[in-house]
Amino acid sequence: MPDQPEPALPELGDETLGRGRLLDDEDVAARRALRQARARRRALSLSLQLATILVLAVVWQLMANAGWVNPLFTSKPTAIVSAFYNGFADGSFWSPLSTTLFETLVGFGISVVLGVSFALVSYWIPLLHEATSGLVTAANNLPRLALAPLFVLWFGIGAESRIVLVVSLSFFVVLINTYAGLQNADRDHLLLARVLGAGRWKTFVAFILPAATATIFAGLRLALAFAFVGAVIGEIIMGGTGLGAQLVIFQDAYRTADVMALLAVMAIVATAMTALVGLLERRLLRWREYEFRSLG
Amino acid sequence: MAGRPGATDVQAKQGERVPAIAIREVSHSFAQPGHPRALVVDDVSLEIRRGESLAIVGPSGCGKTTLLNLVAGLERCQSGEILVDGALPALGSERMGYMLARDSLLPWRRAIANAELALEVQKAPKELRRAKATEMLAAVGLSGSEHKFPAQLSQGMRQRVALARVFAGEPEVLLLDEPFSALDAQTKILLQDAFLSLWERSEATVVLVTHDLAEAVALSDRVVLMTRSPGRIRSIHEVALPRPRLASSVQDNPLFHEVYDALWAELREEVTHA
Repeated sequence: MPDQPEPALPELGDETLGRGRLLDDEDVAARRALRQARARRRALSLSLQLATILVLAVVWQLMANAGWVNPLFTSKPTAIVSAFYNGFADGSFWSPLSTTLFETLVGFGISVVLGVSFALVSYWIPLLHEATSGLVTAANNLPRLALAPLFVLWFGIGAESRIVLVVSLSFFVVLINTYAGLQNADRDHLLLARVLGAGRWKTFVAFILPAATATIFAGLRLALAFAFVGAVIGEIIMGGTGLGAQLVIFQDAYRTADVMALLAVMAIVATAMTALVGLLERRLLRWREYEFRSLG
Repeated sequence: MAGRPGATDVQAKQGERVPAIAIREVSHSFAQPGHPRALVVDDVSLEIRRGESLAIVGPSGCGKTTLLNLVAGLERCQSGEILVDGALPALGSERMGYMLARDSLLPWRRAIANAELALEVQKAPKELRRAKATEMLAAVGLSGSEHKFPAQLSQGMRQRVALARVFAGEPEVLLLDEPFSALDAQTKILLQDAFLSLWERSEATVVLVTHDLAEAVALSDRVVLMTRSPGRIRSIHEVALPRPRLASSVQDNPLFHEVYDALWAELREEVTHA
């Protein structure tokens, strides 16, 4: 530590942003206050959301009890809650849930591996991108659910068909977003890479890939949602043993409370999966929080 | 071509007399669609001594950045010859540092990791580059901010990190293209002081391109004034100000104003002539 240049450099105070100050590592108290304020706001917003759901449920219940709506078509909150509880208590929801999760996650996994690799290869070989981009756009615009009968013809009525349907939906999302992300690299950063003498691999890993991460994750989140939709709709169309197939069975038997309970399960599962990806995303992209905070 | 290696050997034996950078009869033009090629650098010859700090000033579009990019190896030499340490300019050489007005910090890396970048690309061992980056951040007055992201730093602090990054690589030749032009007047002087304290402890040869005459005089040993486009060398001014210098107090010396006024008198002719 040199002792001479330190006093030669004037205090940083004047050029320190007020906002940067709050985040100063020494300023622990301010940071804690900030965190507490954020926690309070989150608690408030959560209780507001719960209250909204509660109010809607009470109105629904009262309307059903008064006979304004037919419970055979719409069921009612108390019946749905008990169907939800029973479904898990007697174990009848677990098996369809695990089937659907299996199809979703396997299909999603395949889509990520294939989508990311294909995006990388077409990034490195522009001719390949040139040759395939039209086809990719066309395939992505095709309503993939219309392919379900073909998939049954090719892969049978087992889980394979649903997985193929899931892949057909989410692969393109991963591919397109990953490829777009790889174009994000800043021109100044690429110039810096050249001037520093970074090789192709180092340039990719240290300059191009980090700049692509946010866009890639946006794709992953969307692809996971698509994968779940693909699995459920696939089961509704093709049958099988998952949540979608179970839904059809309940529907045909006019067990509306069970239908609603299954829909609630799907909503919870889909939200939880997206939240998990979001958690991973926030970990990897912590720097972006600061970017946005300094804007706002 | 055949005689050159021998000639270089003879010069090498003379040690100090080999210029750090030799620019000989360099001309450079750019293609412009629908027009004849535009000549931007016209027959420039210049020798830059080892350890010298040389500033290039001139009207906008006089080719000073092009000249710098030719030395950096970002542009290929079209006519004439440029030798850096007796060799053709090599883009990405470890011995060369390059800095722009834009800090080009990587936003996903904390200050310390940004300061390490040059050494990391050079594949220096982790402990060494961490130690060097920590030392450089301290030298630019950023101790305690090592673990902040660029978005948490002010413009001036970000440019300090960029300074730490370029000096951490211990370049022998340092090319600066308007390095402080994006900063406000006060921050600029603080950064110039930070630069001076780092540079005066190193042995780097500096080529500084700037349109700020005060900056050119404060930071350099010689100032090259270029004519308006196509750029030729109009005059070279010695700056005999004592070292070590501080940009924040160099204006107290009457010599500063002498050189500044002489430069401005000539530059005014160049910029108002059109």
